[in-house]
Amino acid sequence: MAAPQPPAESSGNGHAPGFARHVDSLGRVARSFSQELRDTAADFGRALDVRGRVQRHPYLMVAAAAGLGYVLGGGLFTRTTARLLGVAGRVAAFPVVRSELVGLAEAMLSGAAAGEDGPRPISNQDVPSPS
Amino acid sequence: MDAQTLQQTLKEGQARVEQGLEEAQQELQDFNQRLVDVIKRRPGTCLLIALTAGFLIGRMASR
Repeated sequence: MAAPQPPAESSGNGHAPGFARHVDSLGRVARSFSQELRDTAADFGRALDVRGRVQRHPYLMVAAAAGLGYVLGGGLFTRTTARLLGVAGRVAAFPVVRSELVGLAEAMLSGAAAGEDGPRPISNQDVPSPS
Repeated sequence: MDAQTLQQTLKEGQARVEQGLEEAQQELQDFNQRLVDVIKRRPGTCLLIALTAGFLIGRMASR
C-alpha cells in the first residue's frame, strides 16, 4: 500500500496560483499535442503522396476511394459483391478462353489442311475436358 | 432501285455512320479530358465524393 500523498498546493499564496500553473501546463501540453498531431498528419500525407498519386493515376485513385467506401459501408460480404466478383471473373477469363478456342480451331484447321485423307476424326483426347 | 443506286445509298449511309462515330469518339475524349482535369485540380473533393458514393452503395448492398 502506498503512503497517502501530501497535498500539492500546501505552500505559496493559496490555491489560485497553483491552479493557474496547472492550467498553463495543461494548455502547453494540449498545444504540443496538437502540433504533434498536425506534424504526424502532414508526414502521413507526404508518405502516402495522395496528391501525386491522383496526378499520376486519377481514375485508379477514385476507384480505390470508392472501393474503400464500399468496404467501410459494409458491402464486402454481400451477395452483390459475390455477383460482381462472378461477372469480373467471367470477363477476366474471356480472353483466355477465346485464345484457347482460337488455338484449338487453328490446330484443327491446319490438321485438316495437312492431312491427306481429309479431316481426321476428333478423338476425346484432343479436346481438353472443362474440369 | 437498281444496283448502282443501292450501292450509292449504302456508301452514303456508311459515311454518315463513320462521321457519327468519329464525332462520338471526339466528344468522349473531350469528356474524359475534362473529368481528368477536374480530378487533378480537386483531388481531395473527388476522393471524398468517391468515398461517400462507395460507402452509400456498400450500405445499400448490405441491406
